[in-house]
Amino acid sequence: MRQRLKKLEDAHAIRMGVVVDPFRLGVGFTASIMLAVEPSCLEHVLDALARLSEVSYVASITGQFNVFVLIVAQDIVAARSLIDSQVELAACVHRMEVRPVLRTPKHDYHLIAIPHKKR
Amino acid sequence: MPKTPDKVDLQIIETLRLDGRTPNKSIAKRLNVSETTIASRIRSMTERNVMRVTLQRDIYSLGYQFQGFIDVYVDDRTVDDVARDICAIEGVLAVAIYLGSPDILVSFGAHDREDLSRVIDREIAKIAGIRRIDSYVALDIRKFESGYVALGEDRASD
Repeated sequence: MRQRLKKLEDAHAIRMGVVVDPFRLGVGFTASIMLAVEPSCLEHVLDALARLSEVSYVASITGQFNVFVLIVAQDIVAARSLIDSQVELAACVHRMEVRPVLRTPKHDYHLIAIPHKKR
Repeated sequence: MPKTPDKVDLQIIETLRLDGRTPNKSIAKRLNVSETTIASRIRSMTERNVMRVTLQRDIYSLGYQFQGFIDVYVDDRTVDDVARDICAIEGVLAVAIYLGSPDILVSFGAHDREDLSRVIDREIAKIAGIRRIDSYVALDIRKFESGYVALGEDRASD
């Protein structure tokens, strides 16, 4: 049993993760950020955003925006400063929409994308 | 007023975040407290729904070829009612209610193109009160964690 789990873990199929209730930690602001990024900057923007601890999800997407980001920040002011701190990315971004999340009726935290050491 | 996590609690969470398998003994050593303290802190935080150590699975390993999102614009029905119906669709990973427009964000996984069409074209279409949707598919997922989740007992995530 233990060996099978280890094998699955090594194959990046499963992992033991920790989920935390943001409200209990006083982390109260979640929002989606939709970005229209210049295609030549895409890699750079994705990498830079993935490095931020407040970013829990980042991917390139199809559609009128090409990057989707999910952030979890202390509050709306902290979210604003986080966005402002990424000023060097701003030159690459043509359009940005911040969509605050009020509540989350469903969130299956058992499914994630487990990062490989080198993707 | 529920007990808020103190410094030791936060350090335990931080350690487990880096590696959910870290043995209590190692955490105890690092934080310079007893192993019993670590065990009781973890138990208490789990009972209080502050945190949970849980098995997480990789969407690609589970055979999901696509992961995408649907922005939902609601009309003639309450947003909560529409959201409840969406939560019941197979493959829906998360449903969030926005402040403003669009009204609802849906995150979903699909096994193949047919499954993608099932979720977007058929299941969503069946739900009353949806005026318009915008759907988009994730191409290069650089980060997909579920580190923050409201853990109250009325949650549908389990």
